[in-house]
Amino acid sequence: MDKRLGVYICSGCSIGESVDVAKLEKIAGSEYKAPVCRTHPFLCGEEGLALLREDLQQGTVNAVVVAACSPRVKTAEFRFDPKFDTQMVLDRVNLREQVAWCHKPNDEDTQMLAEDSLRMGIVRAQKMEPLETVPGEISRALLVVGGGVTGLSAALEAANTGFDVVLVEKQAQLGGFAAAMKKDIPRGAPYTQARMDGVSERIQAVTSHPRIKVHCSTKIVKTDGQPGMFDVTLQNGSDPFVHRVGAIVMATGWKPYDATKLTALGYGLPDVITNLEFEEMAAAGPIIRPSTGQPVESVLFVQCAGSRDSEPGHLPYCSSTCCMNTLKQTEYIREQNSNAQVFVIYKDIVTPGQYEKYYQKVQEQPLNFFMKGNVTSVGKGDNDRVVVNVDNNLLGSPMRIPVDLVVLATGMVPNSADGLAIRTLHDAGLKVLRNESDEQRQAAEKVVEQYKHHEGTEILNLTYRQGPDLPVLRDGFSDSNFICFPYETLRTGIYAAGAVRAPMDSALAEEDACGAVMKAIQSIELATRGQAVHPRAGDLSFPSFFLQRCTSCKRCTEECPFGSIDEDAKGTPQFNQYRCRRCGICMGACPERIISFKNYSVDMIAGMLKAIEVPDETEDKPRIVIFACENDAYPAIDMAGMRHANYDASVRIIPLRCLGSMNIVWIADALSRGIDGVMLMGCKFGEDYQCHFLRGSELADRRLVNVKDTLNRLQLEGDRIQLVQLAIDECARLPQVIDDFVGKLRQLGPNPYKGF
Amino acid sequence: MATNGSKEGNGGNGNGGLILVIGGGIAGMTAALEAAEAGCEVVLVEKSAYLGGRVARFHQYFPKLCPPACGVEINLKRLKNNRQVTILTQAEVESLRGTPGDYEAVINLAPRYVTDACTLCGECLKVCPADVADEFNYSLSKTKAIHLPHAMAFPAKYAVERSACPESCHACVDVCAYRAIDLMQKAEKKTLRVASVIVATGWAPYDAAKIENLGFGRCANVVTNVMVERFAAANGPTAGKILRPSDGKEPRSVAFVQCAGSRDQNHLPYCSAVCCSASLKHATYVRKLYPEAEITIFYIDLRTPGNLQNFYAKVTAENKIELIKGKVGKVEEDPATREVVVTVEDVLHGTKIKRNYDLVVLATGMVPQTGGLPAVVDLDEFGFVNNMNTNVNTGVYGTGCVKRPAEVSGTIRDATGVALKALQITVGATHLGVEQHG
Amino acid sequence: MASTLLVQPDTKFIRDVMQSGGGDLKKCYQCATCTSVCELSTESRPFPRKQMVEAQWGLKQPLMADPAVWLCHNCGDCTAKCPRDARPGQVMGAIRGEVIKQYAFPRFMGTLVSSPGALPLLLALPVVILLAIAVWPVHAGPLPGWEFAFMFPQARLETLFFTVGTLVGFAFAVGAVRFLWALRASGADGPILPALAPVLTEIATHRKFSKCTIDKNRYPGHLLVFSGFVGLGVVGTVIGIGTMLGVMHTPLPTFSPFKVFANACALLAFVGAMLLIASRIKNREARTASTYFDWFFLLVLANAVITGILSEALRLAQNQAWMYPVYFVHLTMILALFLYAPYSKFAHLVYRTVALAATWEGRKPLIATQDSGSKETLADDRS
Repeated sequence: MDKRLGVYICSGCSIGESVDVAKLEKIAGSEYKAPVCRTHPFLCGEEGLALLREDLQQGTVNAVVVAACSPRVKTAEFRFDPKFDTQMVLDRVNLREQVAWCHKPNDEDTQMLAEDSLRMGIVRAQKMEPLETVPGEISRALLVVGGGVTGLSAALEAANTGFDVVLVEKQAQLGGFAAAMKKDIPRGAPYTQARMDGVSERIQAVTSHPRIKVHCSTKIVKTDGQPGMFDVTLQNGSDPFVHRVGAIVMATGWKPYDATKLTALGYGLPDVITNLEFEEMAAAGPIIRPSTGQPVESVLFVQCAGSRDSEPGHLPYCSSTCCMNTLKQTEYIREQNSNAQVFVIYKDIVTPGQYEKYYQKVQEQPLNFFMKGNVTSVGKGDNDRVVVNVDNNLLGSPMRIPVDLVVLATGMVPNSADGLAIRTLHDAGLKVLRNESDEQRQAAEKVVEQYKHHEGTEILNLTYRQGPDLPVLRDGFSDSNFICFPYETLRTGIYAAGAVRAPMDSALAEEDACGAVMKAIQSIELATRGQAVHPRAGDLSFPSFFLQRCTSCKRCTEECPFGSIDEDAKGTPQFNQYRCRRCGICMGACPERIISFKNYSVDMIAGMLKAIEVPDETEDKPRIVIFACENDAYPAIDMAGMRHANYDASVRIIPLRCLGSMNIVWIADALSRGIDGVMLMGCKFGEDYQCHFLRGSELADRRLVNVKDTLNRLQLEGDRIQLVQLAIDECARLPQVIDDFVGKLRQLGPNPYKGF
Repeated sequence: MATNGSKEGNGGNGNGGLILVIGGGIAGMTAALEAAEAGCEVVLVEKSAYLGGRVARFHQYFPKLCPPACGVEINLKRLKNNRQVTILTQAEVESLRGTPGDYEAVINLAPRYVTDACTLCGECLKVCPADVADEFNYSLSKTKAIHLPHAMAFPAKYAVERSACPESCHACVDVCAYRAIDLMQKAEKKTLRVASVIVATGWAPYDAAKIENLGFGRCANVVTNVMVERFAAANGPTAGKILRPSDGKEPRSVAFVQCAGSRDQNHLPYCSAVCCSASLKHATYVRKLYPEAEITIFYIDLRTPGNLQNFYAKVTAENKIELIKGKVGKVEEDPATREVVVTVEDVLHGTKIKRNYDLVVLATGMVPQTGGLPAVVDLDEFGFVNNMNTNVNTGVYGTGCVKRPAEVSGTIRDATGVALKALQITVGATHLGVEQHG
Repeated sequence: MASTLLVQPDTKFIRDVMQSGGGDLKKCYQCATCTSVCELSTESRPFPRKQMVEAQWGLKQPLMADPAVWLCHNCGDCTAKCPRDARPGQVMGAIRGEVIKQYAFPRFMGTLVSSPGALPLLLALPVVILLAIAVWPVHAGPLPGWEFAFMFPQARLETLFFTVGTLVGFAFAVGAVRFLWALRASGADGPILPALAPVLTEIATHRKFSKCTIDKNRYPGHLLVFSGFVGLGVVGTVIGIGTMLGVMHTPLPTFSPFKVFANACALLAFVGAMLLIASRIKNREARTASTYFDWFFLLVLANAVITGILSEALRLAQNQAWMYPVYFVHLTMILALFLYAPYSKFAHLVYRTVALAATWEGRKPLIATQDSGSKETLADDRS
């Protein structure tokens, strides 16, 4: 698109008072030959906007630069008629929060900052191209993996929203564990009645639903493609068949914790069983002592059996459901024998919210006995009863409780497959075969040993470069790391739901199914419109690869957090648009700089860097570039402005989609142009990372290692570059961080490359 | 996105598939966004002058100890970029009549006295003569009658607490260069045709003064958990310091009293579900500020379901925190030192103890906010919205803490799911595809 | 090492406690609010939280020998603050009833007195006895003069009451000794005799009652009844002995110091009883759904006082028609009070005294064995 540049400068909100707007106009006019350049004291007001709209209508401008307040505010005002979307580009220069409000008014440095900001903005506008929707053949069907309570709900909810569903269950029949239950916990008001869980009705509804295709005893052989166009190869019996779906809900549920690890709690004795075994017994008929076949007179439940236990082999987490389940199961016993004695030994009774009511109800049974304590051992007692020893309890003295039957309330283990681990295993396997060198082989063999247990655990069998399944977060759960975005997934279009995502009861599982289906539908809707899903929801841009210059270094395929890029046999990247989240990490990774977006590219930022005026060393005017993550760091800098905090005016701030999209060539460019230092501001990384693109800031940090080499080559101090992990609420600390860095650079003295 | 008064965003004239979301906290925002990004038209109604509700006032989330502003910023960005959502602030639903798929909602819009023209330049703040308690800080600090609720508030517009304005004062009007202030603004009514309704009116902290044996209001140095969030927040009344209210001294010892009002027939019979994790989180605030401080948590049952158990383990392993099983029954003030004397039985050791603390934090529970909700909303015996027993699908769904006490991630999970329920109504009969509504 | 407790819940005990006032026992979820709000529970001997869980679990033995059960004066503070409405104060009362039953001599009397069904029988007994010893004038016409002695000659009454007194005293002694043994076995090793003096003064002054915050009427009420009866007891005995020695002759002249004192005491007891009854009715919801065990004692006591005052009044009014019947009822009540003292709530006077004395100096954080038990577990925590 040939650009007709229009620069619109707002002099309101004390911008006019602190910088010389006329000079800015001159820059636009003379340096960049902007045909249109207007200044208004209230640009976001009706009158100001009218100017802009008119110029657009006339077609006199199509590359609009608004130099006013932060792009984070007045977004509605500076959004124009959708009809322009594909015919114009807009860039906003932050003269208010990041210039006028946080720097000395009418000061030379402030003025220079304003001018550079405008220059960078104009360049950005020049290097941007308008975006349009690229239509694709999007399937509106959903694949639901798993036919338990979550899967059934997911299938029904999706079908009832008007989507076709393919439901795959590896067992011969639907229902999962829910079908094995005698009753379900009282999940709703009045919270006192265990209820029939209605699984059979739900199965009926699913199998009879015109929009749902059910495949039992079926495995997923292979999942090709990307959101909107997954080709899922299924197999039950002999010949495989393919379904095309737009999105996938993974509801593979849980498996019971392996109770054989609980010999200390007596598992292995005939009259010690797990809560699941108890449930099945109750569902089948009378509750008896396995050893004698006689109905039970006394039963003891051991809560947290193997759960909430940091000992290796046990479950560190709480399975959330065992307490309510035990309360329910005590009622089974009560129904059978009103004089039976029922003991419950707990660490903490976990009945959150309205569930407390059920605890209250069950507690009131005269012959139910609840006790906080540690079960130290379970063993054989006199006249072949089971004896449970309880220590550190509410009585202050150790207890010995002889009972007929002991039930271990064991937790749930997710039925997940660790995609990354499986991939690591495969890669190591290949290394062993290649057997390039002894120590390489031995190292690889170690890895194989370590990851062996993932062999054959595949579920989705994705044909992704980065592994056949969803990565898991912790303890094997395919959960999201984000509190604010529990359905954030690292494999766009694939959403985990139910007990495979986090321990939860059937009530929550059904809600979770709705949530996952919602996200699945959303990913289809957005794909249909060629838009990105969260967090850059609605973004139409996507990276294009200039493959002629690709060296198949595989950095992009390795570093894309979302597995968007596969490799062909020769290792050439194969980009999958609909998997992409538009973070630009691939762009940052590429040493050949062949990856770029229409509105965000290596060349664009390089251009902006060039636009910065670098005074020569005699002037003692250092120039520092700050690459700031636009999600957290940039707003934090704005907030500093809102508080009128003051920091050094020699910084030039360039927002990035994610610090991971930072290409080290920019640092080289900057320094070779005489920029004195570069600061990277990104989200916290590590275990509880806050980066919205998983590893962006961490990757940037790693790339800095190479940068240091570059510096050494240039005989420059490594201190000229600093990465800061900054949370969005740390605006108070920010001026200090900047000033300290500038101070350090002043000590180092000017960049020797100035003026070259 | 469009806000009060602005032309953009239809008031539901479109396809009748409009979704009404009541409450602009994290639950309402999420529900509105998820539905909108799936292609629905949504109207989001918020009682206060800004979105974000309770989470906007939190310092950090458990278990990640990350700032809520981070996720809120992303959601606001999603809202700003989404033409399908209309946001009405200082708005309340007066009535809701009709049937699933076709409700008529009457919305009362209270005047903000500041128009979209507001640029946040802040000149009005400088001239406003009237101080008012800062509701955003639970009245722990003061602000002006004309004020921005908080630095990142959205809509990014000032608002006037008119009742606080001195007689015939118009200092702000005179100083505003953008003619953005209109003290004559009147309340309006808006009538919308909506297909389905999402109730996300959230929660309020239980009034600690009602638990008279726990000393709130009687003892200067007894505070509540929500107050601690503001103290710890950099933009809070003490700029991130947790101090003794009586004398502003740094506390050497802090006690957390769990179930302050919750699990109590005399107050809230239910468990508020989040207080245990919240207090563990608050313990980390204290520890970060005061490495030497003595920290005790008095509990009945420590409830950290699911992955929160890992948080519990981590926090107690990394920070010296004393956990004592036993509910505090008595809280008194030592008049000499202003220290707080708590009496409690250390149940597991069978001894009754009296201890002095510089600061006592009451882990008060959640009270569902259902005041003024339309009659079609069914409540359970505790006053939470009950979606369950409606055999007929009313097309009205509660979500978040007005439905059940829940942590933030649980609330968002549920809000996302409920958005689907609402979506199903908007697509009408169950066998139509969303495409027919796009 | 802590003595390990073999748990075999006494389900009958649980049911008894629940039926005799502890109906909400099972609601307790062991938060220990009760212990912390209780003004009487001490740092070293906290209650009633632990007694609640023992009762819930039907651990009768430890409770039967637990002095803490008697440190509770049932003021209701814990019940008012209990977050689960488990009414610990009520449960403690019920447990005390069970203790009295447990150590009663002869045992069957304990059961009899605590079971409503036996009420007619219990009232019939004194009636029969009194009818047996009453004089039935052969000659028709009114009795000569206005002295009760015409119907119940001093000598007979004295003999009756001194014999009953001795029996009752013996029954009390046996019960008290049984209780004391149990206490000793559980580690309460306070020196009984030296402790008696301080304990009795404490009881006499009602220091503990004064700490009650919820129900203000119980302190004066109980104090009045208590002192009134002690007074009557003393003066009654003195007069009794006096008349037997023949140095006194009843009815004493209205203004004899003894008479005046006796009347004063009667009045105190009357007012006190009324206050207590009132507070029970008023607090039925707030604190206690009073049990048969309580009412039996309280009503017999009140009636004794009222009929006592009435009969004197009638005598002075020279109302022959009524003075004898009323006096008869009065005697019945007094006798019932005497006969059933060791088994009715009256017994708490003795049991509380013993419990307080047994724990006077020898107070320990917990009953010895269990104390070391908790230390044990502490060690476990650390390891």
